[in-house]
Amino acid sequence: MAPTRSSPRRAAGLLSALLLALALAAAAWAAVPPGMESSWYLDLGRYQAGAHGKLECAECHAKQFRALEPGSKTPHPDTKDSKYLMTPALRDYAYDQCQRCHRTAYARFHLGKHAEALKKGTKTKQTKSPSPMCGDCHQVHYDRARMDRVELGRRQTLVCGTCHPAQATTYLSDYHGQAGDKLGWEKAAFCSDCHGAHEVKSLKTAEVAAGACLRCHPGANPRFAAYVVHPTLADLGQEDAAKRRSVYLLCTLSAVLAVIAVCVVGFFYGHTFLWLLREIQHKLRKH
Amino acid sequence: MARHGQERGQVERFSVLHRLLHVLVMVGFFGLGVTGFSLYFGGAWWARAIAWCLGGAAGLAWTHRFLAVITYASVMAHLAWLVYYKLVLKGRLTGPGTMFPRWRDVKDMFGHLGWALDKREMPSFDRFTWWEKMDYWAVLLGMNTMGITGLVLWFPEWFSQWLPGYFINLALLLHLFEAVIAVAIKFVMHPIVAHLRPEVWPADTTIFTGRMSRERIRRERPALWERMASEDREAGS
Repeated sequence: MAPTRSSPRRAAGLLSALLLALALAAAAWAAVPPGMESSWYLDLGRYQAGAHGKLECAECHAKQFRALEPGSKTPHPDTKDSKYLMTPALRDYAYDQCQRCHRTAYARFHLGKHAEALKKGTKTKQTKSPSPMCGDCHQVHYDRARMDRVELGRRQTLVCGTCHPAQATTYLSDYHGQAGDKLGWEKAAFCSDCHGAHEVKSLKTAEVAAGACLRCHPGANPRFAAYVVHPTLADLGQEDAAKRRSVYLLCTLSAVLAVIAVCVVGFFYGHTFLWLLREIQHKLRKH
Repeated sequence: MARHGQERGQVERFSVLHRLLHVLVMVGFFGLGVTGFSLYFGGAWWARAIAWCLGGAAGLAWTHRFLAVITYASVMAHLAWLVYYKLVLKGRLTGPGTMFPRWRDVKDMFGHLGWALDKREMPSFDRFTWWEKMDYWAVLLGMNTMGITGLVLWFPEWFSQWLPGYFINLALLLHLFEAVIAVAIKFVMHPIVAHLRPEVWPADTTIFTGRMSRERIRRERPALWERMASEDREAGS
């Protein structure tokens, strides 16, 4: 092939690379903050395949439908106002309507830590996220009914992990996460198996934690519950002195063990390498 | 000890029991390494492939425990044999022809390193060289520590009757790092040293057949050769 033929091709390649880079930059520029992607527009196909797919819009959005009626006291927001579309619909929704069908889940939610944080307005230390409401964890329009345990569990690692990343990371390197999330063993514990799904619990007191352990480990006592599932200092206050000590101990020990492992393996690998070189040298000398 | 003066210039180096135990530990250890690391690195594609073959995380975990029992039973069988060897056969457990560690092994190790660097003469090895003793003691002691930490991980509720829960974390850390060291040495270094290095390439069948040629003993174990020769002289005189 003539060399002149290749230059237009190269130009075409460069151009497409440039276009791709531009497209990526445009996509990054246009990206909406996480959680707000589908706030205002609905994928009807996915909606109808989901658990809520048989519901009419007005069943959940009655307030908005009433606003469209003539003479309504709460007028529909100004559609020309571009600012309005930037308010996160997920947190704007009146979730008390969910209890019409999901009474138990709704009641449990209000007993837990998320509801408490919602009332106080506290945010997570790690990501500064406000406390979640129904729609922050459930994709209300799209989630399917009866997801299997592993699928649901893996979703929890992702969803809980968006506000509690240190806990998700440590869970994944713990045996529960390795067997459950990574290897897909349905009998392993996922986030909600210990912390509860709607009544979200903190397991900082040993007695409460032991109650969670007991669900799978018969005979688990508060002493057993001193096992550290999340060896991280994130979200640990000064009052959690015992767990802080365990985390420091585990981190120090793993650093010391890593140094020992590198030294031992390094010494013997080095020795074997020199040994091999010497024997090869002997063999070559004989020939 | 080596019974010498046998036909075809061969010496019996390992008894049938020890050949069998070596094969059992070899298979058990390999399986333990594969299943254990597949559990720990469950996110990796190879771990998922192995998990799929053995029926998921539960299959991996139960295979791991099954192999642990077999491997540890081999260690126990060896310990029982040591007792039998000492009490019934009136054998020696210490001394030059045994696995008992001696100061000379440390000197041999550094002498061997000096030889590799072309600084010193090759040390005169006896029946078991320093690296063979190291392999032996690493397994004998390592299987016990792995066994203890492994039992804590197998029965955490039972152990937490006395130990605080974070000892389960400690057991896991020790189990993991010991496994890393053991696999790095036994899966890589042991095959290279025992089989693949130019002097023994392509394989040393001694541990499987139990036999070693007198010629090899003369060449590779001069101290043992000397002792055998002096024993022969005593027997002849």
